[in-house]
Amino acid sequence: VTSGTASTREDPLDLVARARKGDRESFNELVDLHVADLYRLALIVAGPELAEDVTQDAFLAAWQELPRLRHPERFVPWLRRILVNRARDLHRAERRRILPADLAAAAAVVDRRPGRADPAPEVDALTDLHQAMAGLSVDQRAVIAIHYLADQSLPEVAAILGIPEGTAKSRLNAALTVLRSRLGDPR
Amino acid sequence: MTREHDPLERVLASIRDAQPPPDLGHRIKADVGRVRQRPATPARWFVGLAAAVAGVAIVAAGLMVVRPSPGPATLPSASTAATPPATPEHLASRAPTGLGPDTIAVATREIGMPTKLPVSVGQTILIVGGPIEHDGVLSYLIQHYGDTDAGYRPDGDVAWIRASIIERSVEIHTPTCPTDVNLPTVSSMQPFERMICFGGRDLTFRTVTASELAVGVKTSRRWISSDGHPDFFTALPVYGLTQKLALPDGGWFDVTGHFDDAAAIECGDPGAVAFCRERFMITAVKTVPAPVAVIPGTWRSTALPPIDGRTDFGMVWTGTQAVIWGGYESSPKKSVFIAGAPRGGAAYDPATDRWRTIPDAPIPGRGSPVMAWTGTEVVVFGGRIGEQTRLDGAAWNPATRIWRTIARSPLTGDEPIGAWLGDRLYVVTSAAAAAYDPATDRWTALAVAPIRSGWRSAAAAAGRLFVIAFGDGATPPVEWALLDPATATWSHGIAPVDPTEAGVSFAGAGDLIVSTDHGATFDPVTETWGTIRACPGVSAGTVWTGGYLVGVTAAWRFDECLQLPPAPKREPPFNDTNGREFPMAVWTGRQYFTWSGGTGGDIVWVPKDGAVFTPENDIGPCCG
Repeated sequence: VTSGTASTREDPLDLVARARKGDRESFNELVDLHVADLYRLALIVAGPELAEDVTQDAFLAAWQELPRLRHPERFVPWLRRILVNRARDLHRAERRRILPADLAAAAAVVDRRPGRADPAPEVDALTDLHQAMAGLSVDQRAVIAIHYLADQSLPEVAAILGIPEGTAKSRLNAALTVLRSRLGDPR
Repeated sequence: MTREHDPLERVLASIRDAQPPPDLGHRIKADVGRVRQRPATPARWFVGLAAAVAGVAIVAAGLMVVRPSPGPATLPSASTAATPPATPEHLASRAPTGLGPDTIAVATREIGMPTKLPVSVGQTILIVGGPIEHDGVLSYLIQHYGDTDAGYRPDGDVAWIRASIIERSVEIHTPTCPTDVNLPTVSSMQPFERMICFGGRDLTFRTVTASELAVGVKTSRRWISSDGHPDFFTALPVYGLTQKLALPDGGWFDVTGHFDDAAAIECGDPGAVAFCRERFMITAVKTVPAPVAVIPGTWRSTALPPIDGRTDFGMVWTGTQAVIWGGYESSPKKSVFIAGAPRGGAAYDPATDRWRTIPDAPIPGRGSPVMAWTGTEVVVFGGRIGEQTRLDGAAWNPATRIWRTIARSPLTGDEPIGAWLGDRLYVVTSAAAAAYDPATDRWTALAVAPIRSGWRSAAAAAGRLFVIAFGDGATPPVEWALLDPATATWSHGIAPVDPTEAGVSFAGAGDLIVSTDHGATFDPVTETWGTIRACPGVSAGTVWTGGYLVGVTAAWRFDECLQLPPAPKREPPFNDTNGREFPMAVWTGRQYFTWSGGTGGDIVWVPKDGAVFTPENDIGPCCG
């Protein structure tokens, strides 16, 4: 997954360093750099209905906590972890099973994709995914999203989520079993 | 089905192109404009206030060095706004309970942590600071890393908790400090126990190697270990590396350093200082010869098979060839998400490096079949197609190249698992158990395993069938059951294993059931659990040679964990030498053959390559 629209050529590490010292402009540039990626992650982890809220919450928390980030080079994994934690908190707080997909929310996502003459297949696909994902826990969804959407290896997934690698493996395996059975077309 | 028709791939593509609402970035920026950052280093509290009185002093337990610091004193905030300054008395004194800075305590009640996992009963914590007023309430700053039962948090958590809560929820705990200081012992301690036990004294870890490990976002990615396969429990993250104090890959070293480095005081707020004090700061590195811990031998890549790569397949060794059947095939044009379950398979002969296809079986293909070699036939039974359980089977005779269906089983239920024992294939489901005799083509019904259903795995050792049940993979207990075929009776009990480790494998190793990931054993004769040296590299593609449990990267025997040389590099995009997730393997009597298995990342198909490792010395039953 590539980064979203970049509004700067500046080294992201410099932006993080300045934002840590309270420079809002630098943080705003980090928002521009990463909002699309984080939102896509939220689409899977939190679902279309909650993706915006969770993304917004995650950035706000990141801004507040940024001075405590000891390793600026880990800004992106840290941001992802905040997002997953926010999704989990929201899930717990509202005592809701995240997703069964809201068709309107899925359609809204697809509608924003540029150059799509017929959004229906995409809406269907997104809806299918979210219906399949409804059988997964937030933590399982996070493993799927970070592993397959954000291109991270299992050790990195484990690091981002703060779990042992064995747990990441078992969650991935369990999630794949469910997804395969719901989305697959085995002979 | 091509990849572009793969429904999951299509959805992922949709999401990869998805754009957030145009105003989302603006909303976030507006939020940011209204909210102040939380201070990173108000923590001169720990430094300045006490030091103003005491100069350089030792606080409470004598371990926290307090130094003078200029400038205004503010309180640290783990959560919100500024709070009234503490008095030096608060910092230097202890509560009547004896709790104070650098006390280790054990929770006798659960302690909630703001937005984090709670500290569960029995878990140890570090009192970083307090009792002191925080947000107007007498509080302690506490740190914890979780534990085996609740799960570890490699980054640790630190938070202010009301003193009244802490004082009724913990008891002081005096850690047992080892006298024999070696890497496995020190690594297995909680980070704060290391700091308390060893303080700032020099420690030397002999004959260790260094490698990358990404565990936690705050933790150094450079870890020292005794075997080159670091994990959170057996290795130690190291800090202070420089060009002169370097630990390059592949080298072996005597490493000297210390915890509780004096410069930790500069790390910022007290929570950050605590984390810094727990770091192992390297001060000297000496290169030493590599230990004799590698199984000498050579790898070679195999010829490519006439089938696609597979996941969830079965593989058995017949004495002359490895037979592969079942599973979901995948390729660059067919991701693991939509992979079909073929009826046919393939056989590989390592002596000639040649493959042969196996024709379609008379039963549908499926994932996770139970497979066994009877001496004349390969029996395949059970499995799943998606969420549908299959309880039918067939047998393939490699000599005649003919399939036959086997007798209908009396089994019901889901999740069939099993193993070959003696002259029968034993199969257990969520609701039944039975044994298949290929000589008579008959099934014998057995009592159902008296343990929970859900995530289970089976292995055979000491002539018995061992089943471990993880349930939903989250809720304890993990249960074990043991079938003695001689009496057709089950025994069972609770396994000392975390249910979230449902992906951890258990394998039969002669007379023991072994989890090399956990360093746990189960003796089927005495029905007791034990511990062994963990050897994580064994858990992928595990086989028992009669002398060793061998995996793709390591081999285990009792308390030995030996490395295998690196396996052949895979073709791009699978360019990670040992990145073989979920492979299968067989032991041929002289060689280790592993095939397929994925590599992670965003590659949603698995390669069809195989590799053969030939140990220089016999590691089988005669000589292992």
